[in-house]
Amino acid sequence: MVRFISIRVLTYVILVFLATSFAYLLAASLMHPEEVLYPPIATKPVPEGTAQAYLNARNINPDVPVFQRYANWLGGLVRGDLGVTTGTNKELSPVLEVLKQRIPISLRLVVLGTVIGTVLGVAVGMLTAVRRHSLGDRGATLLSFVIVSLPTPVVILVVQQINQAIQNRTGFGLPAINPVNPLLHGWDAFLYESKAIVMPTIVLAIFAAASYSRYMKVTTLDVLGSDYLRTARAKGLTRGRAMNRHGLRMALIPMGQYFAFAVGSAFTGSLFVELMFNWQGVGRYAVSAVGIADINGTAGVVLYTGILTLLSATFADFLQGILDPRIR
Amino acid sequence: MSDPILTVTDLSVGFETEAGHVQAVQNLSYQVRPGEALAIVGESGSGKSVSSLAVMGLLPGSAQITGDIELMGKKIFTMNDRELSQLRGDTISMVFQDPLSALTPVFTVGDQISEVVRIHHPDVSKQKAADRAIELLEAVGIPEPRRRAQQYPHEFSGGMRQRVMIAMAIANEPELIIADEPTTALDVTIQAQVMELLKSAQEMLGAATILITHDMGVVAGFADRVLVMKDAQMVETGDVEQIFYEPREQYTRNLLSAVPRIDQGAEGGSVAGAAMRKVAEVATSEDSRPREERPVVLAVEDLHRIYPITKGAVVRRKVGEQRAVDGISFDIREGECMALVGESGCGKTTTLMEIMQLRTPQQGEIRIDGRPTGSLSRKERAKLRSEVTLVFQDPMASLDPRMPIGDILKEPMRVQGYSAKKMNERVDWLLKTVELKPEHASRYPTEFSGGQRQRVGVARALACDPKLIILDEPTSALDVTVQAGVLALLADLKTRLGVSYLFVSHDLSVVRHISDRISVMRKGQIVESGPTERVFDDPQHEYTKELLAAVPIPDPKVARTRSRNVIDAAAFRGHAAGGTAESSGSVRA
Amino acid sequence: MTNPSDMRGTDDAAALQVETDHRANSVLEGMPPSEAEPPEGDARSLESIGRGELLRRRFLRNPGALIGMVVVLLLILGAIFAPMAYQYEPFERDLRNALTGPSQYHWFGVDENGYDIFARTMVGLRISLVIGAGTALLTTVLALIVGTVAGYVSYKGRWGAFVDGALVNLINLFLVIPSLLLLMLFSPVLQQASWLWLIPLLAIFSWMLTARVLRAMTQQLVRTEYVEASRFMGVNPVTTIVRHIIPNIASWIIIDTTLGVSAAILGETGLSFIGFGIQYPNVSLGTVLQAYNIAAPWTWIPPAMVLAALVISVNLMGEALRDALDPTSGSSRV
Repeated sequence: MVRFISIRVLTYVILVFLATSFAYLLAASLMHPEEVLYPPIATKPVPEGTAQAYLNARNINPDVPVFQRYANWLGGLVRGDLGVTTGTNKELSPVLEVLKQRIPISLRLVVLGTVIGTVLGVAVGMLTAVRRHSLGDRGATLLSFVIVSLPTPVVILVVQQINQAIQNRTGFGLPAINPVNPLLHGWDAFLYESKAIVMPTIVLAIFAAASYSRYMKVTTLDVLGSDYLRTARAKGLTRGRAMNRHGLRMALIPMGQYFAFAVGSAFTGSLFVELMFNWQGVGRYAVSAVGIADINGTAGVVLYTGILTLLSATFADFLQGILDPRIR
Repeated sequence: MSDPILTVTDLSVGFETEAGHVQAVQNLSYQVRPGEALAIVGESGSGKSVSSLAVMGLLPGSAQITGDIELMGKKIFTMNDRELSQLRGDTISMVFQDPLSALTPVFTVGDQISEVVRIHHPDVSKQKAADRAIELLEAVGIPEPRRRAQQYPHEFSGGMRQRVMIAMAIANEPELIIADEPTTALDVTIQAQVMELLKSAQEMLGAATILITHDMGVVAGFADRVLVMKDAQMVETGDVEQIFYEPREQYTRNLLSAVPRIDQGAEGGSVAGAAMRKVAEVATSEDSRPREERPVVLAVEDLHRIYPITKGAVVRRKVGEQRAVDGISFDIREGECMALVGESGCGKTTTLMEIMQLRTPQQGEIRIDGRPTGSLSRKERAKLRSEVTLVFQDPMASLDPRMPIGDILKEPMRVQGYSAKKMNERVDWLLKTVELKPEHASRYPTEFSGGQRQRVGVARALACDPKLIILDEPTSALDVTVQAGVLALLADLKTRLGVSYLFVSHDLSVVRHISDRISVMRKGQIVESGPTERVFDDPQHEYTKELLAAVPIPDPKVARTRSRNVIDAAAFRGHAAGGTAESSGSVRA
Repeated sequence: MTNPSDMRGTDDAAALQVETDHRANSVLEGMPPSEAEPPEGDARSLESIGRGELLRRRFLRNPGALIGMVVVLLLILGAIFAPMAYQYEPFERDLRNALTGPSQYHWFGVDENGYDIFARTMVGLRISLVIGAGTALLTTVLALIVGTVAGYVSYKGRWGAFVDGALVNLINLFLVIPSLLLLMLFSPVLQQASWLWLIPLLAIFSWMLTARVLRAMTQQLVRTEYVEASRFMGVNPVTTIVRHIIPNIASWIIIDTTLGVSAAILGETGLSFIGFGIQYPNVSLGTVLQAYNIAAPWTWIPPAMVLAALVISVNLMGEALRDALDPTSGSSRV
């Protein structure tokens, strides 16, 4: 088990390293921060020396070869330094500090949404498989089908519009924009924040639940037709107990591989959520970093998603190792 | 006579499928009395398995069931799932066909056995149930039961898993045990052990048993009464002697006469094997020339195939080697059928693949028509592909479902560059030769039954006038009556066209009817070889004797003389010595 | 793009088995024709109707398939003809009516920039359709090449195993790469040339799951006895892939391409919505949605409905195809 996990982790580390390097090199060669910061059409050209100093301080000088900059960046990475953000302000704010500030905000969403969505999806998927062809099955199946066919922004808009309608009708609604209210303190601030997180979490959770319930239904139906479940019933377990004792665990095993890459899609989902609910998280930062050609910032975000993928894939393997003695 | 344990009255089971209504069982009635062993026999699709699942109340919800099943005075169709669950595993238990998939892979074997105890006796403590599981494992002859109980099903061999299934089935001393094809997936020596175990378990418990099988040989040694089914209906039922010696119905007679038997049914009164004897007559009609004068078609000399066993995912290192084929030699002459016999894992398939590769083997030499395969040029090798051909085991898998059979037959001819006209003529001839209609050339394989598909497979092997056809278990996926037909065809082709066969099989009784010579393989080596008659009548090697003794004989009188007692009754009663002694007392109800 | 809405799963490799293995269902073991009677004209089994005919029937029997087909057809016609007939252009500003609801002049209303929403939706639909279809086709081609090659060579000795391993790791690498971020990087750069660049760009980040399934299916087929038989007959590998492997996975490829259309549309609209997809002189459904205003629901509900109708219908068709090809497993149960 330890051996199995450590080999897998090593593979993931290599993959994530390659993916991040690839992304850094692309960002460094495709982005032109100098054009954004010092546009040629600017009314008052910045002195060449100032511009060079600015670019060098951030390791984004286009005159330095890409691989030299990559080596610099790697050197910084080893020391735990992700470089400095690009921006109109002249202060050298480290990418790591920005990420440290924003990661808790994003992670709260991603983790909560994924956990609730997974649990819900697994439960719905199993129930629909067991009560196949029932009214509940048809309803849930149709609903998950529609949800996976909708783009994330549309679902967010639907949720926001419903909230708006309730607020108009009853005068009581959830805060739609801004996760925190700077005017409130103590208990009130906590209350506000808990209310603000409801809608974003719902959005992320229903996406996760919809796709997980679809996978879970397929694996559960496979289990329902299996010989070992028939054996369990022949031993004297009722349908329900046989499913709980033998079926559930077997049906969960193949779910691990879906979970491994689920965090990637959760990041995409949280990016939309952060944009549309105005959360100052990593996703929103990614959009603005790419927008202003912030190479170090983009690379930092890539590293963050890479580590997230690494962790979730490892967790999935760990889960699979616990569930399935055959791969230990 | 005592009251029946099980009474099935006018049972019908149907399913709605896309192809329309399928009647799986129709108007089936039978009774089972205490201590009696009933065998339900039939070919695939006869409805024998469905009827037994109905008794267990385990049919899927989509099944339409009519009739009545009464188990010890209780009508099971009036019971709900909870009430039925109390009977299952306690009063009535079942051993399933495929031991590979019948055990839950994620629980230890011990847990799965103790579970069946605890389901029906919730007052038994976990510890006692675990001890009981160990006793049961010991009773069914699993060595080191205490250690084995901690292991998972994938660490057990097929035969061992079937023993575990039996341990679960007898755990609560059921009144009725249903065994559904319990040995179909097992090797013949393991089959013999498992059947003996089942028989002695039944005798010890005094339980009634229903054995569902397609194998007449197994029936003869096990059953008191036999019920023959065909196409969802009962054909006839009677005592085992009556069925085997004086079958009333023509179908039973056909079924029995198609059964191959190693003793060729020379003595005893059983009908079994009558048709197969005719096959043997055709197959063994001697070539006029003595063997030594005929040219050698295939010669294998000192062939080795060794697979390294590696460990480690990142840095692979060799930790050992598996000698799949370990220095075997044999030759096949023109117009001769050589059988290569052995149990699974003995290396016969590896041998066959080594020959079909037409490459230089790791060690040793393969010569076809006197030419070593290693020395061939690309062109010669392509030419040789037409002279050595293969018939596969599974006729469902060996024909491309997306290709009409005409195209399938043309494929090898196209490689050899035949003209279109010649190919068409040849397809006609081939289909006629294997007793199919030439106008079927445009049909797809799925439109044919198993036996017909295997005929297409044989026709494909014949397409370019081969010198040698390698038959890889050509009939083991077929029902016996169909098998008899295919074997008769093969025997006929051999004498008519003068081709040679390398007949690879695990089934000694089939081989006896078609081969001229036999080589018995075990662990990559040939332990004994010689003319068929000699090997069967006077086996020299221990292993050959063991194999022959394990083959079931479809004759009740002969079969009965062969069984032995194997269950460890002491262990079952909980009085076993050794590791389980400290478990105080029995937990049985 | 790792879109959570990707309908395609990796479980479909099992679909293949069900078609070749009729004995899989132990309860209904081998009911069809008995040995005695050859398949004569009148005793035709279900299979002898012909595969194509059977598929067509099963497909048309599915109400979802019909609805999906009709809606997709209507949307395609609308995308082609509506912009020709409609009086407003997508970039024509009617600032006097900014943020007004649907009317007889502005069918879907006007957004806060004064753009007519119906005109923009229909023109956006055009681009979304082209991108969806183009990306799906390109994705399938990429996946087919990588998947079949990796699957075919994986059992061909040491060298084959090496190539297969390299391709599998390439697939994993692309799965780990944060595709959304890279799309955001590339898309604006390439679109300076043409918006059509979005097609190969989306395809490069969406072929992996399909390739993985195709590899598994090819592996399964290479191990089948009929492919082995052709090898022993001396048929060359390319002929084997073309004659035996591709026909046997063709049905799955068609399904996956159909579902790929909707996945690509979702990817493109998402990207356009955050401003990194289709750029200024062009509009897509994503850019139309970008001008949403919660206080004025008509600014987003009609384009969202069109988008939802399109994706749902395409998915309905894909799932119906899957059901028709393989009624016993896969999506028919989902």
